[in-house]
Amino acid sequence: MSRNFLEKSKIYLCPGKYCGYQNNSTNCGACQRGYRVNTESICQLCHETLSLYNFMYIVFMALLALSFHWYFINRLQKKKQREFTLVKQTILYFLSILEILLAFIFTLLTFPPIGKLTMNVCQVKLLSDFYPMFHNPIVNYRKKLRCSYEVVYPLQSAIFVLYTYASLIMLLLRPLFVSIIHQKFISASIYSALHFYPCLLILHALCGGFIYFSFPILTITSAIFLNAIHFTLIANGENNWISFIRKLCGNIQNWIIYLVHVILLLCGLISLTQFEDEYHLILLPTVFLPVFRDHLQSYPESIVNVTLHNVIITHKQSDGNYKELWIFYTNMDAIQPKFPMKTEFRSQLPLSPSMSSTYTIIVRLKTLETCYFDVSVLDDAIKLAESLDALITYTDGLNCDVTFLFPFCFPRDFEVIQDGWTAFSVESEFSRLQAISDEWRISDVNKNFAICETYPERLVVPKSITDEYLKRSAQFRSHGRFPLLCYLHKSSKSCIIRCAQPLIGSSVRRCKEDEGLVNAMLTQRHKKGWILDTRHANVVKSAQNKGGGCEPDQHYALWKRLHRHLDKHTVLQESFTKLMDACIDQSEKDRWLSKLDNSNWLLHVKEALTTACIVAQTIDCEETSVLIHGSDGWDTTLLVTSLAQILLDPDCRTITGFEALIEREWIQAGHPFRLRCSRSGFGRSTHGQESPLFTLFLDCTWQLLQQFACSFEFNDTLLIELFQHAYSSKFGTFIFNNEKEKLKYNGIKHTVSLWSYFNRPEILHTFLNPFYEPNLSVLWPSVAAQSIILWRSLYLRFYENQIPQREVWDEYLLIKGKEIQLRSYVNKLRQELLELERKCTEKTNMIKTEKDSVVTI
Amino acid sequence: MVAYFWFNFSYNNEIRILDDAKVQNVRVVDRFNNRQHIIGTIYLTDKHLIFVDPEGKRETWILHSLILSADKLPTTQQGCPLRVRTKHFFSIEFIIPKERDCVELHATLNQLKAESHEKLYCYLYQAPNYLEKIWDPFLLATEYMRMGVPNRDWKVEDSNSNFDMCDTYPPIIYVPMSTTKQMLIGSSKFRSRGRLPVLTYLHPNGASITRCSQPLSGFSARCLEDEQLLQSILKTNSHSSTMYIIDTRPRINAVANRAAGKGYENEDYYSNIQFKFCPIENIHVMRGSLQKVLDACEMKNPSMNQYLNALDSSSWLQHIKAVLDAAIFIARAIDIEKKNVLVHCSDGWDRTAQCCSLSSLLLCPYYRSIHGFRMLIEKEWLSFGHKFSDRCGHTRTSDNKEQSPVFLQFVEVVWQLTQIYPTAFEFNERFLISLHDHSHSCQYGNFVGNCEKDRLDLGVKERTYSYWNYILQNVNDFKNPLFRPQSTYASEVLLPTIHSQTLKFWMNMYHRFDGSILPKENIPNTLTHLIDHTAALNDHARLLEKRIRELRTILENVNEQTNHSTTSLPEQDGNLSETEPSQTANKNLPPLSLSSDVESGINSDYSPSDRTSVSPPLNLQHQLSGEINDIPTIERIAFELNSIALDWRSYQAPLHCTCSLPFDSAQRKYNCWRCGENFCIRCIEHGVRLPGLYSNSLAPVCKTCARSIKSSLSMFENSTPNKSNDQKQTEMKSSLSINDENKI
Repeated sequence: MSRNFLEKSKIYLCPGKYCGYQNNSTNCGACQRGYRVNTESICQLCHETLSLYNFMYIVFMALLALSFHWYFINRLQKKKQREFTLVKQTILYFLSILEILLAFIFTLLTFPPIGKLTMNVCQVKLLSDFYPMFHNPIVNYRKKLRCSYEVVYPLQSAIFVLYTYASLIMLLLRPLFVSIIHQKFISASIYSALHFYPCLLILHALCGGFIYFSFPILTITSAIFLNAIHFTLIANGENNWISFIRKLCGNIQNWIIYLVHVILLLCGLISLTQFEDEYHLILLPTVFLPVFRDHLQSYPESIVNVTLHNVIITHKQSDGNYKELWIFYTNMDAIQPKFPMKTEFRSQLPLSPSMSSTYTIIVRLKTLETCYFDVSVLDDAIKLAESLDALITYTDGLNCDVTFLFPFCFPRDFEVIQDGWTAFSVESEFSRLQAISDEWRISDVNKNFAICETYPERLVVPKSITDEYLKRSAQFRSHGRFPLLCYLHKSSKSCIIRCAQPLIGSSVRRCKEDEGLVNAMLTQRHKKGWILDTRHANVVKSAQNKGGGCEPDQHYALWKRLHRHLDKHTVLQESFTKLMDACIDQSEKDRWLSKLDNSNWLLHVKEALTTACIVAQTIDCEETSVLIHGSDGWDTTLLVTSLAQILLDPDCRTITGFEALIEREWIQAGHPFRLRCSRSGFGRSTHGQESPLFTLFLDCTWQLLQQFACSFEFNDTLLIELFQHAYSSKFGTFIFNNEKEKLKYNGIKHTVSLWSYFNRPEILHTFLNPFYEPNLSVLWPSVAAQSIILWRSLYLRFYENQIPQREVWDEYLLIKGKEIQLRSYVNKLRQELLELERKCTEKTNMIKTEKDSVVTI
Repeated sequence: MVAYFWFNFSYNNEIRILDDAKVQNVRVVDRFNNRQHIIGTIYLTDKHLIFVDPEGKRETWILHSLILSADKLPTTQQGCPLRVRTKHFFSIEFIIPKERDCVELHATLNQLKAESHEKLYCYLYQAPNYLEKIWDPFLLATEYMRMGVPNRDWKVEDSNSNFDMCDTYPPIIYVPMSTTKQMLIGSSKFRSRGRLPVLTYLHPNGASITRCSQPLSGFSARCLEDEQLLQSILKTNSHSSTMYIIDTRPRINAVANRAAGKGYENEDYYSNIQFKFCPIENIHVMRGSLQKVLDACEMKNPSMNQYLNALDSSSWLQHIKAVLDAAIFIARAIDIEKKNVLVHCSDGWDRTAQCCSLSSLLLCPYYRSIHGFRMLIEKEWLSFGHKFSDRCGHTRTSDNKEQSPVFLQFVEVVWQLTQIYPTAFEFNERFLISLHDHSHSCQYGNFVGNCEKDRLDLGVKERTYSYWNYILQNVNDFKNPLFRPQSTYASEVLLPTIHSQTLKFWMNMYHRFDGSILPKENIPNTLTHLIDHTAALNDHARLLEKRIRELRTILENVNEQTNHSTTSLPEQDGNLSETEPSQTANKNLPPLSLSSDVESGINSDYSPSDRTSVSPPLNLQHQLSGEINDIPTIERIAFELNSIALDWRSYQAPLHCTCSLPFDSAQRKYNCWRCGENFCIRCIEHGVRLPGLYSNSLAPVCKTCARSIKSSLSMFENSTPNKSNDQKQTEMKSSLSINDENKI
C-alpha cells in the first residue's frame, strides 16, 4: 500500500537557502544559470511565465532610465535655449523613448524563450532572493559553501541587459542625430547618459531587491510628488487660476510631463495590485513539534515547514538520516484543532496545558488518512492551524489559479515510456469502433470548443448526420452537450448514448435536428430504444420549469422512457461524509452498523449498480440502444455509462481498457474533477459542487471486482491509487474540469499525465491480478442488499492493520508464480523427453539394421 | 437453489425410501426470483429428505438430524407451503399441492427426528470405506504434557476418576501442587455443579488460565477451602502478586445470581485478586440474536436499509465482539501483565469455554494448526463438558430453551481472527463450517452427549466414526493455502485491536446456500485450484525428470553397445529385478539428489515387499530372446504424458458439471488430474493411481478418465507385459552393464 505522503528517505536538504542538487550531481552547490532551487533542494528550471508584476518591474527600470534621459535633455534645453528648438527637443525626447523601447523589446527577445516577447522566470519569493551571497552556509563551521547565483533569474540580469542595450542603441542613434542637425552641444546628452547608466547599474546591483519590492509605492509617491512640484513650478508667481491653466496648457512640454506622471501613477497602482501574493496566508513558517503522528507511526521531534504547496515534516530517523513527509494542501480535507481557536475562548484555557501538555491539531486528508500535529505552544498551534486552514481554503477555492497547484511545479522524476496524454486518442477509439460498424465518422465540429465547452474537440458521430445538425442539436441541449456515442456493443450493435438534458422548457420546445440525430443512433429500427433519465420524474418536472426537461414521447416516438433516480452533489457528499464519520469513529457509543446504515452510502452503490445492470440488460439481452442523461450529463450519466461498459465490454476489465474508459468516459466527457474532488470525506463544503461521484464509480467497480475476482486484469490497488490521485495528485490528469481548461492552461506541456506514471512496468506490475483469466461474457453481478459490502481496503485502510493483508498478497503471487513456473517447466521437460525418445528410437533402429546386416553376412 | 451433499455421501450405501414417502409436483420457491419456481418430487428416506427436480439436475438432500424446524404455513391458492429450516442455515419452502400430503409429510418429518441419544444418526451412519471406526485416542494428559504439566507448580489429580467430584469434568484434572484433597472437595462443594477451579492453559511465561463455575456465595457465604485453592493458584505464578478473576457475565446478571445464592467472589474474602466483568450475554439472548440474524438473511429482496437495520438490531456482531474482547483481555493479562487468570461464568461451560479456548488460540501458535485446534476443542469443549446435545438440540426431547449458538459463536470468532490474520491459521473456512455443521449433524460421535461421562455411557467410541478421522482423511480440503508458519503473525501471540468496524458479517456461513448473492468468482476457490494443480504438476515433473535421465543413460549405453559386444546378459537378471523397486522406494527424495541415486541404484537398499507383481526375470528372458528389442516404448511415455493434464480448465468457466449439476461458489469443484476438467464431488473418483505421477499417490480423476485409465493400465499389464517394463529394463540393463564393466 503506498502512503500518500511523498516519502523522501535518501535525499536530505542542502544546507543554506540557495544551495541545491544539480542534475546528476550529489553535491550541494549553486544552481546553473536559469535554474533555481526548489523546496526539495533540487535545482529546477525556471519555466514560469512572466507575471504582470515582474513585467512592471522591468518597465519601471526602463522608465527610470527614460526619466533620467528626459531630465538631462530638459537641462540641455535650459542651457542653450535658442538653438535647441522645440522640434529638435521633441525629436530627442522621442529618440530616447525609441531607444528604451527597442532595448526593452530586445531584452525580452534575448531571454528564453528566445525570439518571443516574453520570458521564463523564476518566482521571486523573498527579498533575500536578490542577495544569495549573504546566505552562503558554513558547513560544520569550517567550509563555506558558495551558492551565489542568480536566483531571481532573469530579473536581475534582464536589467543589466536592458541598460546595455539602451546605451548601445543610444550610442548608435544619437551621433546620427547629431550629425544630421550639426549641433554638437546635443552630444552632451550622450555624455550624461554615459554617466548615469553606470550609476543606475550600480544602484540596481545593490538595491535591486528593495526596488523590486517597493517600486509600486515608489512610483506612486514619486508620481504624485513630482507632479506637485511640477505644478508649483508652473504656477510659480501666478495667483490667477486662469493664467495658471493657460500656462499649463500653452506648453506642450507640460502636457507631456503631466501625462508621464499620470502613466507612472497608473503603473504604480497596477503593480501594487499585483503585489499581493499568497504568502500572507502563512502565519508561521516553521514549527518544532514534539510529535507528529499518524495511525501507524509517530515521529517524535519533527520539524514542520509550512510552504506554499505543502507542509514538510522533517524528522530524524534512527539511522541519522533525515526523512521528509510531504502533505499537500490539495490533499488536506479538514483541520480539526483540539483547542478553541477564537480569541475570546483563549482566556478560558489554563495557562499551562493541563492534561497532555500538547495541543493537537488533527488533519484529515482527502485520501482518508488522519494525522496529528502535537504542538506544545498554544500560540504556535493556533497560528499553525490558522495558516493551514487558510491555505486549504485558498487552494480549494474556485478563484485559485490551477497553475498554482503542485502538478504544475512537479518535476517529472521518471522516464516516460508511453506518454499518457496521447495514449488514448479519439482516433484509436474510433479504429476499435470501425471494426464493429462503419456507420460512424469523426467530426471536427467542436474545433476550438465552438459548440460545446466540455466535450473534446474531435467527436465520433453517425455518418448520416451533418455538422449542421450537430450544431442545432447542441443548441437544444443543456451546455451544448448533444447526444454522443459512448459504447457500441459487439454482438448486438446496439449502443449507449449520453447527452445532457434537452432544453424543452415549459413551452415544450422541439428540435427536429436533435430528433434526427438521436434516431440515427438507433441501430435497430424495429425495436424501440430506451431513454434513461437519471433523475426522478418529479425532479424532471421542476427542471422543465427552469428550461430543462426530458424528451417528450410524442416527439421521440422511437424511444421509451425510464426514470432511475441517482443522487448526486449534496446528498451524495453528505452520505460520504457520514460514511467516513462512521469509519473513523472508534468509540463504542453508537452502533457501527446503524451508522453505516444511516450514511446510505451502500444504498447509493446498490442503486448505481442496479441502474448499470438495467442498461447492460437492455443492450445485451433486449439488443436495443440506450440514451442516458441526467441534467448536465457529466455526473450520474457518466457513472451509469462507465459501469455499464465494465459489465458489457471485456476490454474495460483490462488495465489499459480501464484507463481508456476513465479517460474517455470521465476526463474527456467533461466530469469537472477539480470541482467535484475539492472535498473528500471529512471537509465541509465550500461551494456546493463537491461530490464523490468518481469514488462511487470506483466503489461500484470494486463491488464487481469482489464478485468476479478473476475477470479483472487489475486488483484493488489500482482502484485505491486512482481514488488517491483523483483527490490529490502530482499528476495533471485529474486537476482540470474539462478538455478546454486543460488546453487553456497548457496542461499537456506543463504537467505529467497519470497514465505515463501508471504504465511503467514497475508500477504496472503492482496492479496486476494474479488470478486474471479473460472472461469474454457479460458480467451479471448480484445487486441484492446482502451482496453489497463495504470497501474496507479503501475506507478503513488507515485504521486497520494492513500488514497481514499484504502478506496474503505476497502469498497469492507466490502460489500463482509457482504454478506458472511449474507449467512451463513440465512443458519443457515433455519436449525434451520426446526429443530424447526420438533419438533413442533412431539409435536402436540403427543398431537393429546393423545387427540385421551382420546376420545377413 | 443449491444441492447439498454430505461430503462423504456414497452411492454404495443402501438408500431405503420409506413407504409412501414420495410427494410429487412440489414447487420450491426461489427467494431471489419470485417468478421462477422449480417443480419436482420429494422423497423421504430414513436419513434424508430429498428433493429432486424432473430433469434430475438438482437434488437437495437434507439430513433429518439437521432439520431445525418444519413449519406448515397457512394454505394458499397454489397449495400448502411447508418451510423446512436446518441448523446449518438452509431454508427451503416447498409448496405441496395436496394439503393431506403436507400434513403427513410434516408429521413424518417430526417423527423422524431422533427421540433419544440411542437413535442418533451416528449409529446409523455407514461411512465410505476409507474411513474406519478407529478413534484416534485423545489423551488429556498428552496435551498437558505439551504445556509442560505436571511440573513443580502443577500436579495431576485423579480424584475425579469416577466422576464423583464433578460429573461434567474429565476424570483427571490439573491443580496447583500445594492443594490438598480436602481443599478440592471443599471447593467443589462451594462451586456450582461441583466445577472447581482447574488448570486449562499454561503459558510459557508461567501465567495460567484456570476455569471454574460461579461460587455459591450468595451475599455472605464463604468457603475457606476455595479461598485457599485460589491462593495456591496465585502462588504458582512468581511474576505477579495478584491474579484476575474474570466473570464473563454482565454485572447485573452476576448480581441477580447473588440473590439466588450463587454470584461471584467477594473481594473482601479473597486477597490479592482483581475482579473484572466481561459482559457477554447469556445463552437466551444469544439465541434470540441469532434468530434475528437468520430472519435478516431470509428477507425477500430487502432494501439496503432494511437489511442493515435488521443486522444491526440483531446485535450479533456486538456479541461476537464481546466474546472476542473478553478473550483478548485474558490474552493480554497472560502475555503482557503475566498474571494468572481465573475465568468463570454461571456454570462454566458456555462463556467460559469460549473465552478460555479463544484466549488459548490467541496465545499459543500450536492451537492454530489443524491438529492443535482439534486438541483445543477436545480439551476446552469436549472434556470440560460443553453441553453439545442440549445446546445443539440433538434429540427431539431436548429443551428448546437450552439451545444456543455458543459453539457457533466460538467458530465465528475464530473465523473473524482468520480474516484479520489470514496467514496465521492452518485451517480454512471450509473446516470451520464443517466443524459447525457436524456439531449439529451427529454424523460422527464426537459431539454427541453433554460431557465426557455421557459419551462414555453412550459408547460412542465403539459404535460411531470419529470426526477427526474424517478430517484427517480429507485434510487437503481443509488446509489454508495461505498458511505461513514462518510469518511473524503465525508464530506470535495474537493481540489484535478490535473495533466494531473490524468485524465482518460471515456471508459464507449464513448465506452459504444463497448462491445467487455470493461472489461468482472467489479467490479461495481459485487458490485451492492452483494448489492442486501445482501438486499435480510437481509430481508429474519429477516423473518426467526421471524418464529423461533414464533415456539419457539408454542413449549413452546404446552408443557404448555399438562398440562393445554384448555382455553376458543372464548375470544381470537378478540384479535387474532389484533395481526397479529400489527406485520406486526412492520416491521421497528430492529430484536433484535422485540423479546420483539412479547411478548407484544397485547399492541402495530395497525392501522385497516392493517387488512388482510382474516378474521381471521372465520379461527379461522374453526380451533377451528378442536380443535388442529394448526400444523405449513411445506408447508407454505417451500414455504417461496423457495421464496428466498440463492445463486445467479455469475454475470459473463451466457453470455445470457434466452430470448437469449447476456449480455455485459454495461448492468445492474438483479437477480431474487427467483431463483437467471441473467436476462435482459426485463425478470424481479419488483413489486412482495415475501412471504419470512419480509418487504413487492417489489422485482425483473423473469417472470417464478413471475408466479409461483402468482399461489402458490393464492393457499394458496384461496384453503387452513386456512393453510396460521395456524401457525401464533397458535403462537398468545399461546401467548394469556399466557397473559390470567397472567390476571387471
